[in-house]
Amino acid sequence: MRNSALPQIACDQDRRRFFGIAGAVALALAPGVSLIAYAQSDAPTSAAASAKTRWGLLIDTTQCKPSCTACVTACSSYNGWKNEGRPTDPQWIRKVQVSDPSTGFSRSVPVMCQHCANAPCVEVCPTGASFKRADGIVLVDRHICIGCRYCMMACPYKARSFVSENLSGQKPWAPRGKGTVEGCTLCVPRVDAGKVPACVEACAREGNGAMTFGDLNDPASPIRRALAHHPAVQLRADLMLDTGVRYEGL
Amino acid sequence: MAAIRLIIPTVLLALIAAVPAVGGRVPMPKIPAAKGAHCVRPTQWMRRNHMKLLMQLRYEAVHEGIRHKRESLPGCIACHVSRLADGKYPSVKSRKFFCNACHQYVGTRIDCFSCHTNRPDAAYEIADGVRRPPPAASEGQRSGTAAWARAVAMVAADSGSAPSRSGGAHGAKRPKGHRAVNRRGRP
Repeated sequence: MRNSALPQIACDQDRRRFFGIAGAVALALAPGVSLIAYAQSDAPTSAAASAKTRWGLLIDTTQCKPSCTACVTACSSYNGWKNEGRPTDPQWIRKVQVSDPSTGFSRSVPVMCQHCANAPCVEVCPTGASFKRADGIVLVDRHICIGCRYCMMACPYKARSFVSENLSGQKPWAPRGKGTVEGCTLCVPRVDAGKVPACVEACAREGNGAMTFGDLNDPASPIRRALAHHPAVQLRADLMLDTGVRYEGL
Repeated sequence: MAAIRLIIPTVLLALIAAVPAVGGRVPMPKIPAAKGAHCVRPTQWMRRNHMKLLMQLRYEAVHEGIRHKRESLPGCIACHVSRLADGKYPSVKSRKFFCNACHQYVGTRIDCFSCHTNRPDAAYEIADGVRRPPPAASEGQRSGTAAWARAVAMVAADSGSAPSRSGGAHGAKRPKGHRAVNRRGRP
């Protein structure tokens, strides 16, 4: 009796296993097939940011005119922020006049997020909203920013600002809103689309072409070739933050 | 007698079923028509899963730089928001705004549009319209293909056991304090 029952049970288990596997395959495939059909209609316009690249900026301060604010204007209009001179107004990029009182030497330089490799804003962020992309661009994920402003305190370049009022009329590519911290994004949608940041484009068009954008990891890129031939400094290099923005002629 | 016992509940059930059709207290949402031929996913799938897809695409765009033209919030807006008869775009608070048509019906509030614009903007083409060459096979397992594999896994999980949004390193990298857009009315 026992012997004759055994094959029956084994057969049942096989059947069950077969139906289990067939069901799992059907579940996995049926939605997948339609998904793939839909997916083909919208391939990504940009590949994932890769650690092989490190985006950087070189600013030739000898070419930067004190009277010119083309980079600031371009940033403001592309990203949709306005600085009307109030203390809490955003300033993703600003012109700073540096001078040595003992000699009278003076330069006007644009200062923005320096896109540090060892960014203090990323270190202090309690939620992970302040983060560094694989290609070195330091950003705020406003979806998870709680507006604590630790990053503003931590940044030695005062590169970030806080949105304290309700906004309207934001640009589709640069969402901004009350209660979150913001700063230079190196025009990340443009960079992802294979273009240069708005400030660099404006500097080339209206200014003296003082800004060079490129891949610091690529020895053949214009920025690396320039860095190889001219002395350039990082602001507050003593902090060892390994900034992505470099200044020539300071 | 037995027949009456059967008929009474049947009539009652039919009445109950007929009430929403006649018109309940809350009017059924009138969903504004979209401009495109079809959505980026089947409509029935989107009704259930659009929030998961948006979260997935949002993470990939912001943190990984994988951007899509149609599959993005501006892409949704471009297709689903049209000018009203008076030539203006509907306010985000209005029921005529695509998202609100259903969200108000189910009592769900979203805060996407305190930061994101609710207007379709042709300038988006200028910002992100340049197509890069497709990612090389060797470069990055996190390319679009992997994203679709995760989306497929997401659907499989949804139709089976507990929903899981993603797999692999993606989930592990997601930072803490991840704020849910849709806190109420989640099925």
